[in-house]
Amino acid sequence: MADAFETGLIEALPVLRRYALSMCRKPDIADDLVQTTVERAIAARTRFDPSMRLEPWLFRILRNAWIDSARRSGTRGVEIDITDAPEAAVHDGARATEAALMLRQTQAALAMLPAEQREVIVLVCIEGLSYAEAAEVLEIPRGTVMSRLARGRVALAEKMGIE
Amino acid sequence: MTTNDFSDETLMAYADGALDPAEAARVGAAVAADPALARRLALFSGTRDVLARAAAARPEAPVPDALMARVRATIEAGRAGAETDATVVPLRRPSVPPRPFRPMAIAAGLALALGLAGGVLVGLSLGDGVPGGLRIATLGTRGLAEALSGLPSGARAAVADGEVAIIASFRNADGELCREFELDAAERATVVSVACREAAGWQTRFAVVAGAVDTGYAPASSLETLDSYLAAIGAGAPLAPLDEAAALSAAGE
Repeated sequence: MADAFETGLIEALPVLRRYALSMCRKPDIADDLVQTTVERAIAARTRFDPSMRLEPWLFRILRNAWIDSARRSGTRGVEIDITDAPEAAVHDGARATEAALMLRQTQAALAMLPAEQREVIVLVCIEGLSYAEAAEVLEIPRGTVMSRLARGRVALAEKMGIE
Repeated sequence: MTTNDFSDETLMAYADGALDPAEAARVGAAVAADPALARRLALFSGTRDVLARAAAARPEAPVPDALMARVRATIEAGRAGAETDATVVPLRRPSVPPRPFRPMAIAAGLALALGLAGGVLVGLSLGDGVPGGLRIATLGTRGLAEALSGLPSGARAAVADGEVAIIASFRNADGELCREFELDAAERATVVSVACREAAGWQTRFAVVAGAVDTGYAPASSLETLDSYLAAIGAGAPLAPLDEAAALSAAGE
């Protein structure tokens, strides 16, 4: 019988995978990141506070795993292109609906932002985390989340012509 | 009333519904009375709407069957490990209060582990003869100091009765040159370690057993422990190859 933690882990997989893809853009690497996250989460499950939401906790593990792999590969030349490739999201030209175009424009504008601003925007405005949850994922103060998020959104509004 | 009365952060929190009711009411009244403030607010409500629509427009991305199978196997293995707990070096410390997201709590857990008999973290002084029968290769291993001083990151070299792999070089918050490496010694546990350069030579600062002697099973949590340690000492980014070579050369003089 799966317990609540294991069930939560399985249910979080699609969201985790999407978050991993937002960082590395490569499905095979994203799948490895998710697998590593699951391994670390299971090993560290006694440190999870069940009164908190599971997803932000998993996001933090995943992000640390990504930094870890980037740190290790950093000394062996660039193996991973971490610059966003907005066209990767457009998988089917026939489905270039208004929504897909808008998604593409948004991703293109996001890709032009500094990484630290893009990261908080993804967590709060795309993945729906609270400021406090994003602060926990990124291991920075809530006030820093808010200032980065505000600066990032002002820049995004400018790039997308939002007035 | 001017736009300067409310910061961008406050306007953003208002747009995101993250203010308490009293402050939200104050911002709402100010925005209603001040067109300039309302225009500033529109930047935040506008980006919120655009990003929410972008999130909703993302294509469905089902979890591949292969990944699902791997995850289920991992969960099964975790359950089996929890029952026997025989092959995994115990990194879990149930006595540490569960306080996720607090680096200091993790650091406290590390200090606790150092005090455990037969614990996970070993310093140079432990060497062989650790209680519990674990035999662990350490800096005393012949050839290791030379490898640390001479090899670039990514290189491997034979040492006394095994192999060392240099993972990365970085500087800690005190500016000391440190190297992360893995030591795989025959018939001993694999150790992931960090050593820093002092006047007298390389000193082990951190070591975590990454694989048991007979199974080679490496609990992923050992690297999580390493991450926590690196965060705690303010480890900088890995040195680029040229910087690393210069730092090693300077340290050897």
